[in-house]
Amino acid sequence: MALHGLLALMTTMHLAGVLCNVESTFDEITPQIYEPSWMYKCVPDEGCQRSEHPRPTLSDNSTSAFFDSLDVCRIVCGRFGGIWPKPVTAALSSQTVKIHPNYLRYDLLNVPAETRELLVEMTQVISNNLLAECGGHVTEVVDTQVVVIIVVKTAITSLNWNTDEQYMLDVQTRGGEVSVHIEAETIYGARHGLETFSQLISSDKRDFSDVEHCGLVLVSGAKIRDRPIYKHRGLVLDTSRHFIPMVDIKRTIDGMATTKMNVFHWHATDSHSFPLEASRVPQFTRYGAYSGSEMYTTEEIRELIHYAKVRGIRVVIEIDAPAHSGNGWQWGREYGLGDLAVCVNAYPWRHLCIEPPCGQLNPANPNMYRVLRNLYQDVADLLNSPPLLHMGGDEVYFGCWNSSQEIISYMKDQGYDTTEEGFMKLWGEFHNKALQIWDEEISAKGLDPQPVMLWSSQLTQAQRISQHLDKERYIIEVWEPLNSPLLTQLLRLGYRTVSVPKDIWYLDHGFWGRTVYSNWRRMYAHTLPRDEGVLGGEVAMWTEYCDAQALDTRVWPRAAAVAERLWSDPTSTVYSAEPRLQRLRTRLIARGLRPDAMSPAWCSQHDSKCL
Amino acid sequence: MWLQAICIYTVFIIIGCGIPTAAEEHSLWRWTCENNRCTKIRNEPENKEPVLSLEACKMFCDDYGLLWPKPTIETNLGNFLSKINMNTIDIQITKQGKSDDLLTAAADRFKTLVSSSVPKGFSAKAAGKSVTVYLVNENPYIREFSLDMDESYELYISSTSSDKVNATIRGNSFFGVRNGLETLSQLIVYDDIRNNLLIVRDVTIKDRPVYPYRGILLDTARNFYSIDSIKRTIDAMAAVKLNTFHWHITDSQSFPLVLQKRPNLSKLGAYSPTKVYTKQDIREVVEYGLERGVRVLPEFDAPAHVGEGWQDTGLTVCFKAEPWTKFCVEPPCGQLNPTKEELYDYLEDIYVEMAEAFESTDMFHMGGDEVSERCWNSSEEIQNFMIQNRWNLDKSSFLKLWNYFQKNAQDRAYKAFGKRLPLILWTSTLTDYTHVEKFLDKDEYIIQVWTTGADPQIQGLLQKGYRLIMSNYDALYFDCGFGAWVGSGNNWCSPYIGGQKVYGNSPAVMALSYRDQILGGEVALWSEQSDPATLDGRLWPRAAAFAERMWAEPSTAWQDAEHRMLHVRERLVRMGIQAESLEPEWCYQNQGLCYG
Repeated sequence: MALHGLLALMTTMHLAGVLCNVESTFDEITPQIYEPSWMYKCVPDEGCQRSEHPRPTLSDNSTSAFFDSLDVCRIVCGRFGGIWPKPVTAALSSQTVKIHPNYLRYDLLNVPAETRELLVEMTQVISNNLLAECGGHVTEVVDTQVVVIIVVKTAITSLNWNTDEQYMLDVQTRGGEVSVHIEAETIYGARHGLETFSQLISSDKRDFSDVEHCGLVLVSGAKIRDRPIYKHRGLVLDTSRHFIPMVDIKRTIDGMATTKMNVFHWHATDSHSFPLEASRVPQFTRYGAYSGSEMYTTEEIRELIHYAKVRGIRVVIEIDAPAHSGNGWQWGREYGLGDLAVCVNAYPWRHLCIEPPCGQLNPANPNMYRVLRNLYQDVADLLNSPPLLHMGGDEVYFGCWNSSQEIISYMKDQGYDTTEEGFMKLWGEFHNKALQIWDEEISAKGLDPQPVMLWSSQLTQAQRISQHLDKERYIIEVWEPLNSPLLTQLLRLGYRTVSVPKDIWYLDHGFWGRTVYSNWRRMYAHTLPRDEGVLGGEVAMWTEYCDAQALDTRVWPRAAAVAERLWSDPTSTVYSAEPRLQRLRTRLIARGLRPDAMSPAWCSQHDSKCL
Repeated sequence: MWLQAICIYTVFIIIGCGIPTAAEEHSLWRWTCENNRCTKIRNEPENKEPVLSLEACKMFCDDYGLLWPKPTIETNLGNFLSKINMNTIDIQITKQGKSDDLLTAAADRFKTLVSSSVPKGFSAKAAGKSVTVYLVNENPYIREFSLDMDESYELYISSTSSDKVNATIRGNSFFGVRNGLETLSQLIVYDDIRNNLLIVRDVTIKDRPVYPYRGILLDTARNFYSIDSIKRTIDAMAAVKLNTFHWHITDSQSFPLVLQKRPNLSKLGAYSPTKVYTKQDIREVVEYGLERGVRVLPEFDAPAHVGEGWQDTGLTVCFKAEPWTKFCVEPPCGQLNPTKEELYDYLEDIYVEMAEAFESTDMFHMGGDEVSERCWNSSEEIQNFMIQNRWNLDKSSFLKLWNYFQKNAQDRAYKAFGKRLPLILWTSTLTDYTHVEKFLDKDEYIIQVWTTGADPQIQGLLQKGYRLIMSNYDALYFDCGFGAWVGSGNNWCSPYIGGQKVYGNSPAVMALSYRDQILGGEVALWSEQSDPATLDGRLWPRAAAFAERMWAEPSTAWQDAEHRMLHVRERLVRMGIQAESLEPEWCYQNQGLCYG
């Protein structure tokens, strides 16, 4: 009210100014006030519809069928309001109540002491997100008390596939007080509950240009029971083809947290560049980073891993090997260690690798394994327990190995023919040696052997995989296209898998070669087999044609479509999801992301009219 | 071999004047020009050769250095790079006239460009030669856009003493001199090994564009764009010498243009009352464009592509008609009712205010695409009007009705702008070459082609003497390649058009012997699926590829331009444009190794 008073005063002064011929002073600072404005109505089966004509705004949102903010209409319209991904069950009130972050309190009395510190950080993220709905400043102050009582039953703080992520969320408004109950087995479940709670809140910012005004409204009653269908809901980000600054990675993590994804698969290195600092082997970045400023320091990595953890996300570091390794490994001879990698940056590249620059680790050189051990030690030091390492393992080119006399002699010594199967043995040997090193290094930290991830490849073909890769130890990330039988075959053989069908869930497709752009509806409509062996899926951002400039628009909102598929595995249509996704999009924008536009703004103001 | 010798010599000079720093000693890599490409090599401790940064190497490893678009008449980049001090750049305007304010603005922009050539995270040493730039504008009284304005310039750089570099830019108009300043800014590179700014000296460049009209269309009706994002686009356009910002300001989805006389159009038509363009906003953009040599061309699309905003006027038919697929190409439908007398008063008011706001425009775009007979035919009033005129209700009669609309609108446009300025229309059934001359005079109308580059309409229209602007969708629609927003699958003009195809899209090849009738071309960003968040990435660097095609109409293909293209993308990013990436950074650092 004080603010309105001020504006009125300024307008008066403005008029007075005209009389004194000094109007220019106030011209710029007096906001133009438009009234009336568009209103939105929640129409059953049609969603939020813009009014035919601008209407006078209403003083009280809670009692009318009309809303003067589209975002507010969205959080109460439809069975699942503005929640993304869709919860298992939700009963939402169509009423809202005004709240203010200053009067929001988290009650952590029923939370195990050892988890409290982390949970406090989680609540801070949520509070910041609420402020972000109003651009950082909630001007409309109401003193409605909101108490969020969080109950966490276990003291578990580790993140893995067994982490229980389910939660219950109840919101009740009684006599000017709002009580929110969140109950979960783990703090990660509680975090998801908090995330959903934040999605019951919108700014009520009206469309007229009184930009200073912003209040928050909360759905006044809710009963939500929720848990994910798949345990592994990931996003792959390649930081080797292009360096992606930390700030952009963190923003991507923010988007993942918003959509309850839980695995950040960091394809940190490739043959192009090696930006990951390894304290035991400084040569990796010195020889492999694009420049001294395009690398991740140990400290930054550690901070990122914690940043992700606070957002319920586990970081998986991928050291792609034995192929996709080149720059960063080319210093061996200089240090008297022989060739750590072969055919690095070789050209013509066509027969030596999938794309330039080439490079493959040299499995004939024991020093390579020593350096790899140092690198794994560094990675094990960084990752949270239990550590999950992705060993890469895709696109090995035998032509590359075959070009090295050293490797050919080594194979002879081992009794491997220089045939396809001989090279397969060499390749399998590499993975098993690498796994042994990894096991030894984490066992030195007092940990049991952990499964590792590996991309599907020639080596993981159904008729071959069992000879080389132990199904208890390797989780296969299958990136074959949709029509490939490999996923089902591996499931039949008893392997655990993560699915990333490249023709559906690769975000870089459509911008090069014959690849086809996968739109969000297609990504959403794709379903995974419901099988114990399918841990989940990932959406992949390869960065040959994308760097920090285009990152957000490539990834969002499409990654959110995959997030809902993996969390909810809905049977409903993509069309029914669209209004919620529109709301998610504005939420991502409020949180500082730059998602791609889905349709003309007219369509988002007229749900279901652009089908 | 000749080039290699130059490189070595050149850098010898730099090193000669600089004391090697710690950074230089530790630089693990250096670049050297071999066989016309810069090769990344280890900087061995025993190396005695000069240590070249990537940009310094590229400047002399190609006849056109790092220039984009490449000059058309003469390019001689000399053999030397001189270290310069960014803080001692002085710009002298030698002839006075009424375009001086524009030259001053261009000089300011030049300084901004020089400072943005330093990559993020680096800071250039404040040491080196001082630079004086003399701007010689032979016609300092010209500040008006026209299709025959002179955009040519000559640029000379020389070193006059040990601590001074002089640059002279001569042009026949502000527009030419300004282009010269853009080129000059591209002759300054950053040495990230020693943290110095370097300028090429002993330069002679003579340059002029091949096509007079080099545009970008932005649709601000399907989604709204902030004034800032529009200005950012104009900044990038100026950097690659594009000269027309075609503002498709209204459509059936929204009407963001605020008109004093007809306030309801934006009141009812804007997405929200903050998502509007006032006359002041537009003038700001127009002025911003003028200072950057970019005309801001207004389009008022009619009689189709109208809807929101016109609700209370009674002047439209089939607005929001369902099922929309019957009456228009995308929802919401809407078309003006040409039989209403009052409509033309409305149009005149709109045109008058557009003429006031877009004060520097020398042309007017009247839209005229995708008119639906079925929409008009759904109105009894229109049917009656046609019967009274003794027309049938067939295709050719609806063309007559459309022509009736266009003639009336044309008169009002001339009246509003106070002159018979060139008018532009999109290709449509009205502009079909078999009958176009019955409706549109070739001296009054310019046709903007948006069908494919192989469409026989192009030759047909050229043979009849029409002047064309090429926006063939198969190469120049930058909205293609994303998911369909109506229906399923990907959008209608998929797949995504890569920069290589854009670069190869030659109007000269389409025009054959009628090349003189091609005014130029235009990239179009229809905004059903983009907004300020995606704007930069959709346009850049593809629009830069287009810019070189328009400026130089090179006989070569993209392969020859690739390394310069990668650099212009980096320049755009440094200017604050969120341009898409074309290749892994490794390819940028290892020129010529990422071939097919």
